[in-house]
Amino acid sequence: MSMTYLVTVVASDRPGVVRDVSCALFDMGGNLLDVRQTIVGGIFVLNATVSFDSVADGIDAMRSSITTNVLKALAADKPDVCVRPVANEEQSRKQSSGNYVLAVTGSDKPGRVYKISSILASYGVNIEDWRYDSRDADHALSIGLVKLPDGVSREELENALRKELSPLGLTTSLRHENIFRATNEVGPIAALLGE
Amino acid sequence: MLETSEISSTIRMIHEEHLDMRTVTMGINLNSCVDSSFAKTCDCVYDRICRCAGRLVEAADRTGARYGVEIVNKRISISPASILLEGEGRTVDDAVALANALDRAAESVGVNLLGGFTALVQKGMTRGEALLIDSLPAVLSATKRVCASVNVATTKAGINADAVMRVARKVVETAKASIADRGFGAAKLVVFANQPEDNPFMAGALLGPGEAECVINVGVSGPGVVKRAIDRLKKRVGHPRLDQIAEEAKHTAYRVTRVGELIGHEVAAALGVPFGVVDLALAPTPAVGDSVGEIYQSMGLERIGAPGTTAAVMIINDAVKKGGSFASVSVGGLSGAFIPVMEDHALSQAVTEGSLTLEKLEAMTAVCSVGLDMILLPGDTTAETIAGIILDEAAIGVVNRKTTAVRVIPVPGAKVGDEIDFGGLFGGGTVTAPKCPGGNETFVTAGGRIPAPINSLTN
Repeated sequence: MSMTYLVTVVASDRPGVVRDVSCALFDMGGNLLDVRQTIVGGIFVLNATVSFDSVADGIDAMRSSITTNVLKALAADKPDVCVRPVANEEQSRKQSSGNYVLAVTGSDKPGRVYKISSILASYGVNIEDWRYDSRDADHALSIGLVKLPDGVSREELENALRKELSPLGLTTSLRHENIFRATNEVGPIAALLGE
Repeated sequence: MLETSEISSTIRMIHEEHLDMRTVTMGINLNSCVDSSFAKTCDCVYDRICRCAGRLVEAADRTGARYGVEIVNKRISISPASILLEGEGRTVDDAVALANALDRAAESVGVNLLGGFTALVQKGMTRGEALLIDSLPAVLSATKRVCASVNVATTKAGINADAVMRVARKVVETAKASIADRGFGAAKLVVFANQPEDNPFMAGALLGPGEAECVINVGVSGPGVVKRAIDRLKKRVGHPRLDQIAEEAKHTAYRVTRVGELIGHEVAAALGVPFGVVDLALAPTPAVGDSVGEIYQSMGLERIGAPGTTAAVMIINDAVKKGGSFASVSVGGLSGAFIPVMEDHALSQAVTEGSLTLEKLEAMTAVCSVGLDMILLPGDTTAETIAGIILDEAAIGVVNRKTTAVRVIPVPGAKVGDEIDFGGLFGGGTVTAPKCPGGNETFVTAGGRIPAPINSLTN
């Protein structure tokens, strides 16, 4: 029986961390399907899905083995590892079309992301990707790739966000993803529109 | 996901730098409305426009709202109206009736201007075309939304000097006929050489003879975006070289044009008509921060009109065309830098201060995308002076194989230095005049045709 796992690794950053994690998974017969790695606050963070053709000793036993082997590979890097089996229905869930880009700028204050995400949740908006950069404290920037549910218009949501966020000194922009892709990517517009 | 810097720059273009869709223009062919009964022709014109463009404003607004990009104008261009006036026994009253039908249809579908009350007379003139030209004073003073254009020259045909003189007289008469509006009727009339047949911008919008039954053309603007890009370049590198400025303008033009391409495709799809062209024109508005003149100032020309201004126009016009051509599957219209004096506060200011003269503007038109546009002249300007201006502009266009145009307003009762304000997108400015307005009468009234130049013999 094949099985896919989501592996999250947090560790001190140094050259070679990706090599050591991928080596540990390869040695176990794993095949990397999707890898997202970044540095947040100077800390190495990696999320990956990895599939195994066979988990003969059981799903939980394989989960433990992955955890153990990755921890061992990064022993000197103060690692934290979380491994979770991915159900078939979760795997088949694709990123939806009709995505919008939300950008909120303004001075950095505690609770800001909570406030924004609360408004989005109240409208049933799903956040598919999120970044928050407060290195410039006066112009902290939240950017989210969000999916609007049926029945919620861009203008309606943008107005709601502005109503709540303007008093906090925050500027809000909600635009369809295609406008950003059109102005920044090279390629036929027809491809963006699926023509 | 896109880079943070990419997202920020797009938002900046929309929110801070006046990026907008200047116009979504539906081209409608009206030739099928010809009928032996002129009343039926007018009814058909009204019905066909309402049928084709009934959903234009709603579709454009919905698409604009989806992207959060303002579509400033929704407009209509029609096939040359002179074709509808060709029948036996047609009169100026018929032309006015046709224009009124167009005006009512434009109002009914909610567009602010309709272009294509046009005659293409570069090589000769039919009865209908002559009638259309003769009707211009009555039409442009009686209607609100109808815009007219006359093409008097092409590189292939040469210049129709008879038509130039005839239309120059009508420019003067049109201004006088709209004396209550300070001659505003003339602001809706443009005289072309090499008139594009897919131009979405007014007053010269037209659906030419080679175009589809119905089509969506869009006009994008964004002088503020280009200016700010140059300002950022200066901040980055200090004193940029001219090739660095050209490169920055080209890349910016690409990004601006892509917005037009995206929205144009969507509006056309929503209406079920073909998408035509994107016309990337750095078309200013009277607002500060939305000025082509400010671009030249950012390039280092403290006084617009100083020696070097023509070169600056050439740099930007060329960069816009290069960037735009890669961004769109089909670039058309005028695509380049406009220099409509009244509609651009920096150019208008330069005319007021005296640094930018009519003669310098004429030189600039040799390298910009249009011509002498929205220029206020004294009320006593003669038809011969205007004919000379048109001939000069046409000569520049014909020889350089480019579009040139003249849109001048001889303001009744006004003198050099007077301030006139039409309001809105048409803006305001100072009355100016050629340094030598007279002494050309024998030449401009000689009539006939100026033959096509040798460089037109390309077959």
